[in-house]
Amino acid sequence: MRAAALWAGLALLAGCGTTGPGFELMAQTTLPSFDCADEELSSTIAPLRGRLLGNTGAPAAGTVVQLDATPRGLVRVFDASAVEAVGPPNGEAPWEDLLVAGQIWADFTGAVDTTNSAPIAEVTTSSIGAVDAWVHVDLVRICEEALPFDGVAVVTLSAGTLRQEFALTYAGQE
Amino acid sequence: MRGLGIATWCALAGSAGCAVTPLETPPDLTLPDCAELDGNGTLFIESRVRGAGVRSDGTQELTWTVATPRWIALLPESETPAGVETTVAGLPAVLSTEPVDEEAYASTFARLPVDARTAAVWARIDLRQLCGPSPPDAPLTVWISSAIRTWPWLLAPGG
Repeated sequence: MRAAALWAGLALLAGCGTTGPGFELMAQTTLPSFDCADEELSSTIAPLRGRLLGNTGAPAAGTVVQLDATPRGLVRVFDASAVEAVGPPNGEAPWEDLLVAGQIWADFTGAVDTTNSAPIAEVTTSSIGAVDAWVHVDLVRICEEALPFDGVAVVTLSAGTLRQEFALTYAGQE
Repeated sequence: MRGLGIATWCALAGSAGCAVTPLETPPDLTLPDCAELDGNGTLFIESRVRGAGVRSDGTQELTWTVATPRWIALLPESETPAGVETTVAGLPAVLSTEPVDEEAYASTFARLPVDARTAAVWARIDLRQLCGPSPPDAPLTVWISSAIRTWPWLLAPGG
């Protein structure tokens, strides 16, 4: 207890933040209109990456965060393993050297592998309170099936009484 | 000595506000208008993130994710593009008369280990698309992520 009080005192002296509980998360991005007549139209893949802070402002590790994506069926959340991507050409410069150096380069196709990976409805924060998942907005299906879509994709994150929305808004649909 | 002590405590406690130095992401910007870009095919803008090598929030790497692939792709920093060197909103840039090679591989996602002080990529902007018949009606966006946060980097069309 005495050691904890000492650390708290040092935190104040160091000017470290004492923010309250809640999600630190990119709230909203507005993207350009999408064109259903575009032969190269691809669905949106967006990183859902942020952090959950507990009552003391410290990261809330190991906490289950519920994820609610809407419109249902058109907006889904996946683990990184479901995101489809095309890697650089094998053995070609400069990619080979970059891979050896620990870099990762990929071209997202806009698709997700639903055969082997189901959408997730919750995620557990890491040891530093981080939330890490990917949001898929199925623009291709919206266009192919002429589904109603008001241009707003929302994922609501909740943990206990804490809630935060993550929203992608499209300027329009052509 | 005091600075080292704070860094050590922050690393051990992982406290929310105790990042030794905040990450500095590239500023949002407005692209040159199409009249200025006329005659060119591709614009490359450097996207650089700066920050301390030792981080209390666990960031070991940074990721760039392109939100608007129709207009933007990513290239490695080591691949300095050929063209006229310039700046856009103070950021290093290169303007090329060559159009984007649609057959060449282009990335929309990059994950880089954080070098001691900085990490960077080139954002390649297709001017044929930017200034074509269907220009974007909202900023082009690249999401830059650390271990715990994502920042949208916004490149507004110049008109």
